[in-house]
Amino acid sequence: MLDNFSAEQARYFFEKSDDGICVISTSGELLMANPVAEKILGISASDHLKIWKSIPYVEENDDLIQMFIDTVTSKLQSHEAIVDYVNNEGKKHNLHIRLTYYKEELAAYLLVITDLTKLIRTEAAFARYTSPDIADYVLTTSEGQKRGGVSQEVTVLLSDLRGFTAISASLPPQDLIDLLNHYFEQMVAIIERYGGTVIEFLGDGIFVLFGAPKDLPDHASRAVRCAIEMQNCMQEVNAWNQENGYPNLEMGIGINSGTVVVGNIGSEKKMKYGCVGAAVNLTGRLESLTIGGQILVSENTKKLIPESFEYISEDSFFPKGGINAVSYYEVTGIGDDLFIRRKEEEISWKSTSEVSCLLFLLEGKTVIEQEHSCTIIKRSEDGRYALIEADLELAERTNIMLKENGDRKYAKVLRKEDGGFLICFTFGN
Amino acid sequence: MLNIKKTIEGSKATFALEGRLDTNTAVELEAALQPVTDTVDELVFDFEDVDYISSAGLRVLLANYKAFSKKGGMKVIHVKDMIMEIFDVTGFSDILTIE
Repeated sequence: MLDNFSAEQARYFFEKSDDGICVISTSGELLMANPVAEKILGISASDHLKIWKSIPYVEENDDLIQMFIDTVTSKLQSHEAIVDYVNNEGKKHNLHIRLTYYKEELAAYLLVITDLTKLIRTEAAFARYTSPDIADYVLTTSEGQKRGGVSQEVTVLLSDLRGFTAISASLPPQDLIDLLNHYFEQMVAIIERYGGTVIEFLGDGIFVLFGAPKDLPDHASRAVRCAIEMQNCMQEVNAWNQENGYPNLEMGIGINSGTVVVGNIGSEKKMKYGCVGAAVNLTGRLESLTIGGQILVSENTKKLIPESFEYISEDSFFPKGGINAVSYYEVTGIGDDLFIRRKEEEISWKSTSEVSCLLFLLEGKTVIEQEHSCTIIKRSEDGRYALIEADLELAERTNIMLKENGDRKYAKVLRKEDGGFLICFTFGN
Repeated sequence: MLNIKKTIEGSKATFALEGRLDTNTAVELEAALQPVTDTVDELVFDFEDVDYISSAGLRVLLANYKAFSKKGGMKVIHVKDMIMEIFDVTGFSDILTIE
């Protein structure tokens, strides 16, 4: 076959190839290079320069130099890798390199380069425009490319900003975007840490799924933990807002678990990874009941959580078309380690006189018999918080019981403040 | 695996290396060089028993070549054929003093 191949034809293919092709001598001299190779590497073959004198010897190019070393040490096979490459102008590339040693009349190295930079940038952009998990699902699984769905048990988290419509009317467009973007940036970082997948941003709201496309057996716990951290993060978000002259934001979160259908929804030409089912609608309704700072979690989620679950109120509602009421809880803590942080200044205090009472420490769920004296200095208007003085040092997170006129109230020590200890009244489960 | 044997004669240090100079062992070599870099003027690497050098190893050589070129210089001696080929194709044979 090669007999029919003229030198002209060979030259044509060499020059027109979309891949870069170079021939390099054993002393590192660039003997031949086609136009694409010259363009990618940023050097000219006509000067017979040594390749490593012409391209930058910088750390980013170490993988490329290593390929040459590998080919010298293992001459019988061809070597291939995807490497980073920085040219003399500092421009970064991702290259697929194949390097082969040939010893015919003249020993030399054949270097074939495919520039993957655009392809890799597209993938990176894709992951940014959807979410890394969805990008992964679409790019690496066979179902990911097709329309269709699966039934999956998941936990849905919906958040939104209370009173945002009013804020959006009062700010100039660029400021509004900056405000939202900063807020989303903080929230998405937390969501990703807990393995949640952002399905979409709905205006100022975030629709997050735990348990799809990646299977997570503890999706319910993760969702609640994520929500608590998101609420705690609002302090930092608002500190930034204040510094930049933006209004404070208040976020409400609704969480519900159930079986949903997840998959690629839409038409062949335009589709998205979405989630449908009654469980989603219920989450939306729960979320709409929130006031700023609240996390409302349905009983469907609560029963999937093995750890201790701290809440400060409970209620129920009838889902649309539902016969049975669904209970929900205002969550303030989960496990032994994660709780909603409240700044003292955010609490509206009632002015009442100080009241003496008895304090008992709790060990797990058992009350330790020893009595301590305690004074309730002030209470919050909503009855959730109190500032107390006690005859002993109380560590953060200590569970206590207060006995006031025969009434027993359980609480948790949030932190030491000036003048006493800030406590939060609780229900346990 | 890299064995490092250090010999100091006056203001010249000789490091006789045995084995592979790769990403992990390059770190060990750097650590061994650190105490002498400021106290000697001349550095010699004896590569008689060096079987392999990776891109990380090349960087250590380059860094020390630069540091010692301001003083008494650095050289690499007793280089095996394959290591020489690596030095050739990567252009290091033009930079380093090899005997």
